[in-house]
Amino acid sequence: MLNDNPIPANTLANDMANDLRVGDPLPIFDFEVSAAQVFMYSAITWNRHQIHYNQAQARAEGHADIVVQRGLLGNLLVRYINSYFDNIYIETLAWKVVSSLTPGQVIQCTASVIDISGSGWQQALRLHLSLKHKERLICDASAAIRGRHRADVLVPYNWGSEGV
Amino acid sequence: MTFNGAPVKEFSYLVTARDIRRFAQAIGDTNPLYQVADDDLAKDDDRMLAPALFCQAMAYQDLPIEALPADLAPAELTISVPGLRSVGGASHYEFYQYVRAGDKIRIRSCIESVTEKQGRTGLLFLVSVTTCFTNQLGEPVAKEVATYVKR
Repeated sequence: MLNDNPIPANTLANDMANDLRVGDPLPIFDFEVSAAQVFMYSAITWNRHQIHYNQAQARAEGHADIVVQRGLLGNLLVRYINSYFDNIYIETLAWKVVSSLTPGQVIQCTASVIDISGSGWQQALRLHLSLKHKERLICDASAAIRGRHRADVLVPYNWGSEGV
Repeated sequence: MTFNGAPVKEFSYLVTARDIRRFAQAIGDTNPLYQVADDDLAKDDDRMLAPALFCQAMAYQDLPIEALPADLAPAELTISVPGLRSVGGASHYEFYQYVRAGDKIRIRSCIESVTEKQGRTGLLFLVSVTTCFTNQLGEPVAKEVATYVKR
C-alpha cells in the first residue's frame, strides 16, 4: 500500500514546466505487497507458475518464499507515477527485476527526472525509478511520460450492440 | 539461437469492465474510475479506461494445465533449452492508446531470441518474447518485449 504521506499531484502541462529540473529526485513512496495481492494478480493474469503461490516449490527453486510477479512490480511503478503526476499519459515503461521480492517485504520506490523535453502541453519527461527492499535493489526502471491529450481518452469506435 | 518470428500464440480477448475492476483490485489501485459498476457504465454509455498495464491480464492463453511446462510457467517458455526453472526478468512496454471495456484485443506473441549467458550459479538462457496488442480497428494498443530467465 502507499504510505500515508500526503504528496501533491502535479499536472504535467502546468506545474511540471516550472517546478522540475533534470536530476531532481521525486518523493519516496513505500509499498507492501501482500500474499493475497500476489494471488489476485496470478488469478487475473491467469499465470499459474507455481513459484507465485507454492511456497515449497518456490523454496526448491532457491527463493525465500513465494515470489512477487515481475508484472506486479511494474504496476507498482505505474501507481507511483500516477500518484505523483496527475493527468499524464505513460508512453513507455521498462523495468528489470534484479532480485526476488516476497510478500510482506516493504519496498521503497524512488525516482528522479533524467530528461525534460518540449514545453506546455507538449512537455515530456523521462524518469529513472527503482524499487528497493532495505538496501537491496529489487527493480531498476525507466519511464517516458507526457501530458494527457484529449485525443487519448476519446472513444475510438462505438461498438454499440454489434458485439464482436 | 534466433527464431523466425512465427507466433507462439495468437488469440483475441474481449475486455469487460469486470476484468478492469478485478485487475485494478489485484494491483492495489484504488482509483474510483476503475470501480464503477456495470449498471452505471451503461447509463453513461461510456467505456471504462483500463490501467496502463492491463494488457498483462490478456497475455496468457486459457490453455489446459497439461499444456504448460512442469513448473506451470507460461507455455511460451516450453522451448528446448536445458533450463528447467524460469522466472520473469524484464519488461519493456510501449503504450499507444488506452484499452477500454468493450475492446476486442488481438494478442500476438513471438519468441525473438534465446541468449545463453554465464550466471553466478551456472548457465542461464534469456528468452526474449515480443507481444503486440491491437484493437478491433487493427490499431496498435501496446507492445511488450519481455525477457524470461531459464536456468
